[in-house]
Amino acid sequence: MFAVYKREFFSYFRSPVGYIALALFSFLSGLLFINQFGSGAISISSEIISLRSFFVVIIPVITMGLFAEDKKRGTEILFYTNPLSLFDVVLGKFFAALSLLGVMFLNVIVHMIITAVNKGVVDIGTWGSVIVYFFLAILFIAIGIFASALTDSQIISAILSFIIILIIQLISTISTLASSSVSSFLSGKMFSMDAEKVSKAVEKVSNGIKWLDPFAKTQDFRYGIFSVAPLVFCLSGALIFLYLTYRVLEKKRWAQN
Amino acid sequence: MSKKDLKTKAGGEKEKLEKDKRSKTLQMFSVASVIILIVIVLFVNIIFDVIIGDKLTFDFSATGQNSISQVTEDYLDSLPADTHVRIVGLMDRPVNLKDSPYEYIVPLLDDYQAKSNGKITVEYVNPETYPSIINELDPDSMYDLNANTYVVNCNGRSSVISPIDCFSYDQEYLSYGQYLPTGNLVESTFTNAIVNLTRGFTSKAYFVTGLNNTDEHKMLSNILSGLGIDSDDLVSSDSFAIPGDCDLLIVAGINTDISESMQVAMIDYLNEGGKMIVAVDYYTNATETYPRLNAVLDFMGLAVDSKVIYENDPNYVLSQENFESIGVILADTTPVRIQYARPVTVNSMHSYVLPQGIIATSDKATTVYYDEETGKMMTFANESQYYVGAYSTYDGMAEPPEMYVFGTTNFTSDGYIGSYGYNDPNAVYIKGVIRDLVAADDTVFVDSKPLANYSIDTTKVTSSSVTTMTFVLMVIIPLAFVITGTIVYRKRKNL
Repeated sequence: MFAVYKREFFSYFRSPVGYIALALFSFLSGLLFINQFGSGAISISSEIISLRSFFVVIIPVITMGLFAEDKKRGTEILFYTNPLSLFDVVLGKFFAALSLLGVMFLNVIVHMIITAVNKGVVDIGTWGSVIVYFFLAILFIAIGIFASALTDSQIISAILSFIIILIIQLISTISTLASSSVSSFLSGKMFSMDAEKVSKAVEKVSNGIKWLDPFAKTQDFRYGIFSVAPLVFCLSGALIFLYLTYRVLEKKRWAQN
Repeated sequence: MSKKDLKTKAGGEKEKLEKDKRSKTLQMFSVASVIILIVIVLFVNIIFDVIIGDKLTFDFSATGQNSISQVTEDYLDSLPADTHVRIVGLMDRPVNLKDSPYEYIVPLLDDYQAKSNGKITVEYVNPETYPSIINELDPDSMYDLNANTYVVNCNGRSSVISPIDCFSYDQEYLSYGQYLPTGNLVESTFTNAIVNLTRGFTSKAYFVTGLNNTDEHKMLSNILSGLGIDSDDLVSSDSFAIPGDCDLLIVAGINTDISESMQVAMIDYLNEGGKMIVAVDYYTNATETYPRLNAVLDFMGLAVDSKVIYENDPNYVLSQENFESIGVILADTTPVRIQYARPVTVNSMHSYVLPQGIIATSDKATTVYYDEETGKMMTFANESQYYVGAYSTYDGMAEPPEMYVFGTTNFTSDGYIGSYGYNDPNAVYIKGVIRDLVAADDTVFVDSKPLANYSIDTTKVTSSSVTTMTFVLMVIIPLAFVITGTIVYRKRKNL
């Protein structure tokens, strides 16, 4: 696994992709930091939370080539012929992408240092935001890798992961839309349910959808409230997508076409 | 076709069938394993979320912003097991908490529910989608429930809490109207409401009404309720009498002088050790001099003037046009906002009467009055410090009368408290006054929690440092990566 990890991690720096991703992240994080610095109050956790919303662009960029590029070049045959298990290959690539995100995060560490030097606050909520940042990254990178394993086109892979991550980021909005749709459907002529029953049904639908929202689950970390359940949610979500990736690759061993 | 060919073909088909079978088995295995994994993951998440989630949640915040304090926990533990306090947020459960008042309210209320052993339930019901909730919580329409507020309900009684009232603010007087939240009073507010609803009221206050009162003193009633004091109206009439259960008499925002019978009743009340708050201003009835009310005040060595204070010190002036300025609480120099204030004079004829000024203007203030004949404000050359608030009591009595007099209604009116909230310094001060007079039971006292302050050393935020920082963080570093990427690409493109 380490051999795959090493190869993939350094391959980011043998092509412009890693540098472009780093430049993009540096610019965005710098912009967020400067806005706060100029106002005389710096909340690093706010910066990190804002940076999370850029996952929808950054994660597809750093994961799109992980399997799609191998498929396109035909080098994926190496996965099946070398003594490594396919899951090791998946994990190696996953950790390489996560490490790149870790390198990008050094920008935020620099911002933390500047904040501390200027007598600002780097409190427990900041570290909570850092933890959430990496656990969400774990989930989204797993999604990106899965998208990359589905196709041999980097563009399609990027679009796929973009769509999935975007849907996850919009879960609260989707929940609101679904609630109002269910509400109007149930109170319509077909069912004519009374307001209380409709309200309860809407609440259940809304809560059911919101239960899938990793952002809502992890929002208390920035206030210094650490909970294990949201982290388990992110890890288990990542595990599902990594296993799906493994199954997609494994399929080639037995699939007829 | 030869026998050999037939044999080969049959063998190939058999092999293909075997392959199909194997492929189907592997496909089945693959799909089944994914389904099993998803089921296991869901199961584990539900266990963590519902069963052991709360036990594995830790509040590491510096001041426990999102956890109830031991004081509240102890009080909740002391409540009978069958107590049911219902906290209803009249809104959809807020999701985007960041930078909203709810960021400190929603997690704390969840903690109330988690640590109350079922005595407190927290729910969010949007009255727009479920209108009957208003009637359910307030069948007699006593509380004027509105969306986006919280209702604490117990034993058929309710207390209404607005999110904005759950914080204390630092008011920057120089930039008029600017407030900066500095303290978190969420726990204090909710715990006080729970205490009052579960313990019941301990004292009773009466508002004197029927004298062209400026408003219905709803806000002050809420403050009294928050302090465990029930309140009722005492309407002006010829047979005016102060009930025996009156712990506090409030004469606030009147625009007509009291009647003679009221004057007698009030003096009798004070003679028996009564407590009074009086607040009148100049705005709504500039020509009223309140001779009978002043006779009552005179019993305590106090009086309200018939003129209005005009502040001349620019450090105290908020709006000269509206006679709005800063008064200072003499005990701790806290600034409070006053408007159309009448001077309160302190003049005791007896040694046992102890009047004293408590809120004062600058020493550059003057007084003015409205001349009906010319229709102009007449200014006196009487530059001095004036009292806007005064307190008086009697010496040497076991149950002495006590009185607070304000020459402004900015401490008591719905208009003021409604605009500036319960945590405005004026509202905080009147709370203290009421506590002082009625000795409200404060055994369950939850302190304010300081909010995080992310300010940096502003002396370092110069325009040149911002420019340098912008250049380094947003230009130099990203550009360095782009250049390195370009060099790597050019060197490796032909490999």
